[in-house]
Order: sequence, then structure tokens, then C-alpha cells
Amino acid sequence: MTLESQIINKAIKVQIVKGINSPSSWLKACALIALALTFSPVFSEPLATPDIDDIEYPEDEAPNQMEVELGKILFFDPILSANNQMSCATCHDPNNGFGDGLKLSIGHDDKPLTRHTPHLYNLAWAHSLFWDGRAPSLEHQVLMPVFDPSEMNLSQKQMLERIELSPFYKTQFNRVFQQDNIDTHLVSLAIAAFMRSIISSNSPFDQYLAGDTNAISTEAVSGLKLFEGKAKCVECHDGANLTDGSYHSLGIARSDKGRGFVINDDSMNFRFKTPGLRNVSLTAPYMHDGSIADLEGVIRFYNDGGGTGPNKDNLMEELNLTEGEIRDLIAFLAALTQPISIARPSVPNNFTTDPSIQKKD
Amino acid sequence: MGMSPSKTCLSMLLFSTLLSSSYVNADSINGTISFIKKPPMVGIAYVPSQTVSEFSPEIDQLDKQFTTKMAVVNSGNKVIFKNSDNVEHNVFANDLSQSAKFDVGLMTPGGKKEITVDWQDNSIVRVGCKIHPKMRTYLASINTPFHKIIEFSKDTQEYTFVINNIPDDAKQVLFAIPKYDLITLDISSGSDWSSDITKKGKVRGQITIIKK
Repeated sequence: MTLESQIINKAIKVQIVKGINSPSSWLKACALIALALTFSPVFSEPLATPDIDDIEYPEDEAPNQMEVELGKILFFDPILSANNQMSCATCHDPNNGFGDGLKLSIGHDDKPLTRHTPHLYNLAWAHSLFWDGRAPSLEHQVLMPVFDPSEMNLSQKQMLERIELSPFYKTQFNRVFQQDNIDTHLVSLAIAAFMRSIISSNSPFDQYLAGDTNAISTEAVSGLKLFEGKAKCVECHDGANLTDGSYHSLGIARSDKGRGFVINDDSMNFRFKTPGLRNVSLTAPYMHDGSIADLEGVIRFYNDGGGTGPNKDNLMEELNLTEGEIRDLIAFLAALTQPISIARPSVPNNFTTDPSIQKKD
Repeated sequence: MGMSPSKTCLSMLLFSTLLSSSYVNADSINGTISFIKKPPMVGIAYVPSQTVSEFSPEIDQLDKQFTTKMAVVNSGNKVIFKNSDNVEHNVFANDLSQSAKFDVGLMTPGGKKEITVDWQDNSIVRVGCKIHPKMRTYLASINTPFHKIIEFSKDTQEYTFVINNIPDDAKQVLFAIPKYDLITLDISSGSDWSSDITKKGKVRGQITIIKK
């Protein structure tokens, strides 16, 4: 039940209790209804199980399994880093919630980066990638860390030379894409195809939505009600993947302008993309800068009305959650957990003709 | 002594009916569209004509969505964007292939902004929100009153549409879907026509039209 309808129900109850002939009760009821009509909760998409039919594939075609497998091998292959020691999976470790568990990511030459590694769950439905949304699709996104000097620091030329040197990749690219020439577009298609396959859609919460009322605990059910009600989480974390795909400032950032820098718009300064919450229990620490260590800390942060940084979102306000309610919210977030098991593939090892490549054992 | 107001109104109605009926064309286009897989978001069928039409649509934003999936515009005319939501929006377009670029800036709840269409006719431009990347609508700059926007949904693969009172001398029906190949049907002879709906050459469905 929405807050609006709760208020109207309360107004009706006032009439029933006081009787229709009481002028004061009429006044009170009218005031409550007026409050309900002026109160305008932010629209939220219903929480739901993700629908495969809602995925927008490139050219409207889902990749075949061979393409996904090729992308998986590339995802785990350290030849995509200049020093041949980092793969995509180094930061996006499947055994670590597709993150690295660190506050800030580690880049080229073990230098710390400025943001926390985001998880990769259910990006098949994402409309923008990175904390600041600077990539409009997975195909745009997947090679940006590879070519970023501060991250994997590989040039486009080096990447293609390395892949071309591998008889395995030559054969596999030819099988998947039916062409001899391997280019960056094909590499990005393959890796994006794998990343789009990292899907969580059968968590205990999904089973609960499907009608299994015992799939989640009573605490989680209470947490769900809080999530959609008093705690106002759905005002940003809505829809099947519990994200509005939008950008908000929680009052955390003070120097990193986030979305505002990308689109050169001051009104968007210090705003970052709302992360999806599927498997959120596995993806600590939290926030774009990894500044909050655990989910309890996150909920207490929101309960206090967020941080004190600039351009803070109007949605951020004190929630007055009790200790029990905080525990219930954590129980609900835990019900979104469905670990995705990814077997690490063997990566090809055929680079003997290129002395610049020293594979790490 | 003059006519009573009611008689005056009746006369004007009859006159305008007669006047307009002399320009009404009897033919209409009835179309059927089918998709092999999940349909795209929206398409537009239209009959080019010499008739000058002016379009200045108003597009609202509600529940973090545009209230229409496509609107017809004219080069030189205005498009009004409203924000009936409780959150901020920032409508923009950046379609370099159509030389279409605008940014209305931040729109607070209740806000209203307008832009002037300054890009080429016969194009379809994608419009989005900088704050809510899920939001999408299209502006179709076609210069004809004889058109029909068809909004598709993921659960339905078959659609029908009608364009009434097309000009007697209409020679073409065009069907456009964003990112799909433009379909041109020559209707100068015969009474029914069909074509594959393709995207980059790949068949995605079929359109059939009948002239009645």
C-alpha cells in the first residue's frame, strides 16, 4: 500500500471512529485527504523478476553460446593488460561478487584508482555503464578499462597483435563471427556477450515473488515492506534490478564530480549511478568510493539522511528506522542473493613469438 | 431581421462540411505489420503529400517516461517538453547523423521548456533524458498530415493501422522504424502491397498495405 493510500485510509478510519456527524472529524478527515492529494511520492517501477525479453541485444540478436564462451576466455585472459598480469576478472572476480572486495580498485602498476569496482550482475538490462554512466552500452564499455592507461594500459594495436598471435583466438573468432580479420569491435562484442550472460533472476526474493511465501524469512518480508515504504529505498532502487538507472548525489563526493563531469553539467555534479542490488550482500564495500564497509553501515548512512557533501539529492532525509527495522532491511537485501558460479576457463598459451608478452604463471 | 444564432451556427456547419468534403479524399490505407521476434519500440507509416502541415507537439514526462513514444515535428516549428513528474528531468538529443542536437537543461517538477526543430526534414531523432537513461522518445520530422504512429509492445507481434483520406494522387507509402531500414512502397498501381521489414538487411518482419 502506498503512503498516499495509507493516509486516505486513515482519513476514512477517522470518519468511522468519530461518526459522520462530528464537524471536527470531518475537518480532520478533509485535512488528511488534502495532505494525501498534495503528497506526491516519487514514481517507482514495481520490484520484479528480470525478464529476458527486456534485454536489448545489439542488432536485436542474442549471442550464441560460442560467442559467450569466447568472451569468457577473453574476460579471464591477462593478455588484455600491458603487463600481462591483469585480466578483467582481476577486479571483477566471480568469487568476490564480481568485485574485488577493496575500497578502491587497483590499476596498472598496482596504483590505486579513484573509485570502487562496481559489480557486474544483470548488466544485460543496464542503459549506461560505469559509476558516471559514460558508456552507453556494454559494447562501448568493455574495452575502455583495457585501453585506460591507469587501468590495464594496453593499446588497441597491442591488443589486436596479441590476439592475432594466438591460433586459438584466430580459430575461435573465425568460428564465431565467420571472418578472418579480428578487430576491436569483435573483441568487444565477445566480452560484452559474456558479461550480458551474468544474470541473477532466481534469488529467494524471486521465488517469493513467484508465490513461494516460505522462500524468505518473516524478517525479510518486513524488510521488503520497509524497502518499499518507510525506508524509501524504491525511490531509487526500483524495478527488476533494483535500480532506476539514474544518477544521484548522496552527499558523499566532494571532489569527484561524477556524472556532472561526463556531461559537463554542474547540476549533475557529484552524482553517481544507482547500482542494482541483485547479490548486494556479496559486493561489499559499498558506494562509488567504497567508503562504507557493510550493508548495516549503508542503511545507517541513509537513516541519518546521507552525507554532507554538495548537491545532495532532495530524496535524502532522515528515516527514523529502529534497530529492528535496520535488521529487517538487511534480511531483505540478503534475500536478493543468488551466487553465480563461473568456472575459470583455461586461457590459451601460444604467445611464444612475441617477446613482449611474458605470461604470468 | 437576421438569422437566429442557432440557424447561423447550422448554416456555418453545413457550409464548412460542404467545403471540407470537397477536399476529402475517399481512399485510405489499411496496414498490417508483423514481427518475427520481439518488436521494436515504435514506427511510423506515412504518405508524402504536397499539403502543408504544421506540427508543434507537446511531450510530457510522467512516471519517469515520456508520455509518447514518438511525435511528428516540422523543421522551424517548436516542440514543448513538460515535466509532470516529481523528479527532475533533462531532455536532450545528440544525433549527429541528423545534425540534431539540443539540451533543454534541468527541468524541475512542473517545468516546461521548448525547442525549435532546426534539423533536416525526413529524419527520426532519438530524444532522451540525461538523468534517466531508460527514458526514450523519437521526433519524426515528416511534412505530411497523412501519417500514423504505431506504438509496439514486447508482448504483441501483430499490428494494424489505418491512414484515412489519403490524396488521390498518392504514389508512395513509407514506413520507418528507428534504426531499421526505411521501407518505401510504390502504390501508383495495384491495390495491395507488401515488403519485408529489415534492420541492416536482416528480415525482422513484414508489412502489408491495402488501399481502400
